[in-house]
Order: sequence, then structure tokens, then C-alpha cells
Amino acid sequence: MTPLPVQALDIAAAVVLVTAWVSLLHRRIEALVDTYAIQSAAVALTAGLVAYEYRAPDLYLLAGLTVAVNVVALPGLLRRVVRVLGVPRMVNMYASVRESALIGLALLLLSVWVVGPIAPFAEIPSAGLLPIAVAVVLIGFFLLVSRRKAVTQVVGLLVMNNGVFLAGIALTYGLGLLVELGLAANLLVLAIVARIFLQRMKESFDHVDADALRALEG
Amino acid sequence: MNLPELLLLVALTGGSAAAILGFARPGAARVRASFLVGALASAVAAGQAVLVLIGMALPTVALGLPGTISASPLLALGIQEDPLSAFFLLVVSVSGAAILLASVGYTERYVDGRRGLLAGGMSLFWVAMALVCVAGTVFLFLVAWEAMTLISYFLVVHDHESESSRRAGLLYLVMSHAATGAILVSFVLLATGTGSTSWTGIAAGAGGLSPGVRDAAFLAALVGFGTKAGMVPFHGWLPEAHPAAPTNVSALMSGVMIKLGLFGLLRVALDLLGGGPSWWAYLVLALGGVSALGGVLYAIAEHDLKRLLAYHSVENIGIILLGVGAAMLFQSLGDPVLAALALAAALLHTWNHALFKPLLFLGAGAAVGETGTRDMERMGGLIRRMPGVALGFFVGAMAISALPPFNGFVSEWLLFQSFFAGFTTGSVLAEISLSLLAGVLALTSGLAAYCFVKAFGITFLARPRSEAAARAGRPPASLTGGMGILAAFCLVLGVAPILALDLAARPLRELTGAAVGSGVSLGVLSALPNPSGGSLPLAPAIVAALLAGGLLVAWIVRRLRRAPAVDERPLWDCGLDAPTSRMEYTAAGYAQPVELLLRDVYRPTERAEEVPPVRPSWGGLARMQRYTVVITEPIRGWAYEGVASGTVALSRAISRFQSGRIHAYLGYIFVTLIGLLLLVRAVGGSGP
Repeated sequence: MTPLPVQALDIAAAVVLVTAWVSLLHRRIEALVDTYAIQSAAVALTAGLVAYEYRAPDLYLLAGLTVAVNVVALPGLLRRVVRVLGVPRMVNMYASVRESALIGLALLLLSVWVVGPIAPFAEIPSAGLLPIAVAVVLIGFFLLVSRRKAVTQVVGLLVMNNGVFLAGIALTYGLGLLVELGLAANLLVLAIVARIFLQRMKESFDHVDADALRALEG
Repeated sequence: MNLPELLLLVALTGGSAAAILGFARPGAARVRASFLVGALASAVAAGQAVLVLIGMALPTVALGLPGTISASPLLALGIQEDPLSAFFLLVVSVSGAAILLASVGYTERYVDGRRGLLAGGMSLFWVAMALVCVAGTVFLFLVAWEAMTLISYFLVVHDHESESSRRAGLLYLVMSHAATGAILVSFVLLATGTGSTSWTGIAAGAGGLSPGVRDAAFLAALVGFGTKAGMVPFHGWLPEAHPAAPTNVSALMSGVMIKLGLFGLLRVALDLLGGGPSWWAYLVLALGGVSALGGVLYAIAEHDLKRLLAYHSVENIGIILLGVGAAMLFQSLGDPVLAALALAAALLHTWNHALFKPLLFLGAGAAVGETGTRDMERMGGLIRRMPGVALGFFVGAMAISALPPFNGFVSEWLLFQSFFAGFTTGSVLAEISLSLLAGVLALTSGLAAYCFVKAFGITFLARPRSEAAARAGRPPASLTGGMGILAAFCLVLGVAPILALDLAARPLRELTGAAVGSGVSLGVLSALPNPSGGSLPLAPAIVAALLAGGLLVAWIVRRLRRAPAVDERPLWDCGLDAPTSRMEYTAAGYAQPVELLLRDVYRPTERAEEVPPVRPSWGGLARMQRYTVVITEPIRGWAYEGVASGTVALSRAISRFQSGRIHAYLGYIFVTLIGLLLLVRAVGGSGP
């Protein structure tokens, strides 16, 4: 019988994965952002559980930080962007919802197939998280690639980030506080830059459709 | 930091400063300063190269900046100057200085901004070429090589408004890049085989390479460097790019840059690989022979002055390759002394060509610039409009036709010597091929002289053949000055070739292992290999003396004979009218006998047509016919056009990937990532 925290860990990781997949299904941007907030909360929970299990107090700090930044601050920021800039509420995508869902599943299979064999070598109970983490990264990437609007792309990037975070926890029980802090700060900066970028796009082109960059086509 | 090191640093920095000065802001004074600084830097580099060639050396820790903790930063850059480098640096820099000086005045026709680009570009071009010479590692060499290619491309398309310039530039760019690809292959083979990327390391380890790798590296280098040098059949860019570029750029490219192709070939074939089996040598000899003869034949058929000179570059590269090939042949036969003789001819001819070809190009530039046409049939009579330029062109024409007392004679004479000396090698195949090639060389020299009678005579002599030629202005003094420097070198190296041979002694020793003259004090010709046991007469000086004596005698005889009473009458005008330029011998007419003789080679398209009669000024009726002959190279039609259009099509296809869509770019990354994951699993995953 695996200890309780480890089972909880698996469940939290499952939530991260499922939310990543679900984020492919949303048509409305607010729902997408909400899903991201839930996913971040699950990631924070994972960090907390690892901190508890392995007596790594600095991971508590990390979990707290994740809650503050990824659950509260960033989604708030994104909602504001959507509201203030008047971004159309619908997610505009290249792949249909059904295709996205199937591709998401395929990505999950791929990461299990590729990373699965590697995981046992890391002789740690939570190493099983690795395929999940990779799948989340890939799904985030797919989100980034397949959605038209800049806001949704930012969400894709954030999902990827969650995946990287999860991988870090799975392999090393935290990438090391300093690294994590750096990562979190990075993320915030990224969000702010994205915000400014969107603002500029809005001002210059009157819309925030990354598709308009096609004008560059030679 | 010793003197050569300091000078090299000063020269490279100076060249770069000149480039910045040119690019910085337009303005006539600044452009002039840019050219002058560039010329000065070039001259400093020439001096540095001489110092190295007479025995000084860079510290083995190459350029070290004063004040840095260790001298390593620039060593890491990989600068290294061995005698071969120094010799080519000398070749590059002497001509570079003269051309940059001549450009001060020549470029006055361009508007200021464009002049600045030209000035900066040319100085930077020189810096890149100097770096190619002194690069001691594969990396630095390739970077400098590519820089050289790209800068020269931009210089070729300087007149980018003209469609033909752009087309020529494209062809040049495509062929140069294909060539660089081949060079890269060669170096990758050498570097992976020997585990080193520096010349010294590769040279040390090259003995252990398998014959297959050595052959492949040599062939790739021959194709790559041969393309840059303009060796047949990879010369296609040359007659296109040289006419398209501004003439001073052509002078720099044709006189100097293509030599670096030879430099690369010598570096790989003789220095790094240390020679090879005799079939390498026969291949180089065959290509050299074809280049020499083919180049001169198409030059004769060409009436566009700049294209004519471009074809002569092909010819001279062929002559140099004959020397290189002969050297390789003698080395493979185990005769380093003869190899040194042949290589001395090749190195000397390299330098000589780097002197007289820019001289000719600058002269042609003055003629083309002042008349506004490149067609020789529309020039004529320019000797009265620009006597200095005509004199310089004449010197260049004498030199390239290998006539004493100019430098071209010395190197071709040495080459003949080495060919004839080849009869002592004992290899029947070598003897047969060398005697055949001596015939080819003789024919080439003769035809070159034939061609330059045309080039000089039609362009500069007789009456102007067009309004523009009659109104041609006087070219600027700096142009004549630059030509003067080059002409002086042609004469000095023709009368006292010992100077050049002394400078070539160290690279010769290093490449062939023969004990060639060991310093300035030795008369190198007597120290040169001496197959027959007697001494090789120092012919150029003797010939010069004979010529001078002959002239003296003629002058005395003329003085002694009372000049006959001069009886002036009007010139006989064929019963028509005052002689006009239409009665002059034309370039087409001059070349026609050779074209007729070699119909099967040229396969000309001839057309004779009746043109509507005009009423001449004397009132009668004349029937007029126009005769046109078009000669195109057989190889150009399919090979180069094919390569160029194929590349364009490929670029179009690739440019479709450049959609400008962020999603597309992200998608590429995504697909690549997935692909790599699959690859990792398929190849490396051992399964759970």
C-alpha cells in the first residue's frame, strides 16, 4: 500500500493532465483561463504534497508562490486583458475541438510511449509523473500552435510551463528553490510583456490576431 | 608582441576602419579618406608579408592584444601566418593597395552614398581576403571565405538597377555557395579524419588518412576552390560577374580574389595533404590546359572589353594550374627539386597576374567609364584622350602576352623550363603529357598576344569609332597613379625576377621540401633546381638588355642616316572621302581568321544580311551588308542556367515555409519536437 501522500500526488498529477486535455476543448476564453487556474492549483497541490512527503520546506514556499502567481495573479491578468481589450470571447482555432481532443490523446500516448521506458530508471516513487508532465508540455505546445488569438497562445505557454514545473518536481523534488523562484519571476515578466505586447497590438492594428502577421509573407 | 604581429594588427584594424569610414556617412571627403586608409592598410599588410617572407615570424601565440591577461583571445580566433599565407597576403595586399588608390578617382562618377558603399565594401573585401590568407583554422578560414564571397556579391550587384547585374550576381552567388559547400565537405573530411581543425594539426595527421578520404577531400577542394579560381568547367560566373561589377571591383576580384582559390587548392593539396598520387596531378594539368586554351580562345571571340579580360583570367588561372599540376606531378614522381621549379612558376605567375590583370582592368575601366560602352567596336583613338591610361594598358598587355621585359614573361618562361626539365623524370606518361602541355602553353601565349593586339589596338589606336569615344574625357589622376604603381611592379619583377623568387623561396621550401635559395642574399635563380647540370640563364635581364641594345642600335642607325626629305601629301582615301572610322579594321574582322580556323571549336552562329542602302555623303549608292557572329560557350547554356534556375525553384519552394505566420513557425518547432521524440524512442529506447 503506497503511502497516502503518494496516492494524493498521483491524483493531483492526474488533475493536471486532465485539465490540460480539457483546455483543448474549450471554445470560450474565460473557461480556458479558469481551467488553467484549476490546473495551477493542482500543480501547487503537487508541490505541497511533495514538500510534505519529503520534508522539503522550501517547496512549501514554492507551492505558495504558485498559488499566488499562477492561480490568482495570472488568470486575473488574463481576464482583465480579455475584458479591457475587448478580445472576442470565442477561441478561434485551426483544429476543430474534436480534432484537438484526439490530438491531445495522441500526444499523451506518445509521451507515455517515449518517456515511459525512461521513468523507472529514476528510482523515485514520483518518477511516474514524468510521462504526465511531458504530455502536459506537449499539449500546451499544441495549444500554442493551434490557436489563433494571442491570448490563447499565452495560455498555451502557461500550460507548457506547468508541465515543466511538474517535470521538475517529478524528477528532483523541486528544481531548487532559486531556480524555481527565477522561473516564477520569469513567468510574471512574461505575462507582463505579453500584456504590453497585446496592448501595443491593439493600439497599432486594432485587433490582437496573430494571423495578421501574415502580411510579412514574401 | 613583435613587429609582424603589430603590423598585421594595424593593417586589419586599418582596413576595418576604412570600411566603417566608407559606410558611416556619405561625403566626398570621407569616401576619399576611406579609400586612402584602405590603401594604406593594404600597403602595411604588404610590408608585413615581406617581413614574414624574409624570415621574421609571428609568435606562435598569434595576435595577442596588449593588456589582456593572456595572449589567447586572438589565438582562439586562429590567426596563423606561415610562408604560404604570407606570400598570398603579399599578392593580395600589393594589388589591393594599388586598386584602392586608383578607386579614389575612378568612383567619382557614382553619387556619394553609393560611393561610400563601394569604398567601405571594397576595404572590407580586402580585409576578408587578408583574413582568408592568415586564417590558421578551418573555422576562421570558412568565416573569412564566406565573408569574402558575400561582400564581393554585393559589390557585383552594386549597379543593382540593371537586370543583367542582378542576374550575374545571382549566378555568382549560387556558384560560390555551391563551391563553399564543396570546400566545407573537404574540410569536414580532413578535420574529422585527423581530429584537428587547425592547419598544423590537419597537416600532422593527414598522413594517417585512408586513401579514399584523401581522394575525396582533394576532389572536393579542387571543385570548390577551382570554382572560385575560375577553372574550366567551373568558370561560368566569371565572364558574367566581372563585366557586371564596377571596374575597380572587377580588378579586385579578377586580379586578387580568384588567386585565393589557388591558395586554397595549394593549401589543401600540397600543404595539408602533402601531395598525392599522380592522377591528382594529371587531373589538375588537364583542367589547367583546358582552362588556358579555352580562356584565350573565347577571349579572342569577345569584343566586350571587360568580358575579354575576364576570359583572360580563366586563361591565366589555367596557366597557373599547369604549374601547380606539374609541381604535383614531379612531387608524386619523387623529384622535389623539379616540383619547386614548377611551383615557383605557378607562384610567380599568380603574383604577376595579380599585378597586370588589375592594371588591365583599371585601364579598361577608364575606357569604359569615359566612353560609356564596353563594346570595343565603339572605342578607338583613346590613346590621344588618355595617354597615361593607354601606356598602362599597353604595359599590362605586354605582360599578359608574356613579352619581355615584363613580369608575365618570367613566369611563363619558368613554366616552360619546368616542362622541358620534365623529360628527365623517366616516366613516359609524364614526358608525353608535359610535352603536349608545353605545346598548349605555347599556343596559349601566342593567342594571348594575338588577342591583346586586338584589345589594345582597337580600343586605343586609330580613330575614334563613335561620338562617345571622340569626346572621352581625361580619367582622374589617382587612377593613372594606381595603374602606374602596378605597371612599375610589372616592369621591376620582369627585369629583376630574383626579387619575387626570393620572396617565394620560403613557401616553396615549405611546400616541396626542396632546398630552394635560402635568403635574400642568394641569387635564387641559380639556387633553383637545375636539372641539366648547367645553369639556367637569367634570361629576362638578358633579354631586356638585348632589347635595349637593339633599340639603341636602331636609334643610332636612324641618326646616322640622314632622314629623307619629308614630302607631305593627302592620305589616299580609296577614292571615296576623308578616311572615317568605318574604314578601320574592326575587332570582329581581326578575330575572324582565328574563328574561321577553329570553326569546330567555336561553332559560331553567323549571319550576313543586306541592310537598306543609305546615300553616302559623296552621293553614290552603296550596297551595305552587315555581318554578325555570335559565339556562346557550349557549356554555359545548359549547365549554369540549369543550376541557377534549379536553385531559384528550390528557394521558391523553401520560401513557402516562410509564411510569416507565427503559428506556422511554432508548428515547425512542434512537429520537429514530436519527430525527435519519436526518433529517440525508435532508435534509443530500450523498452521497459
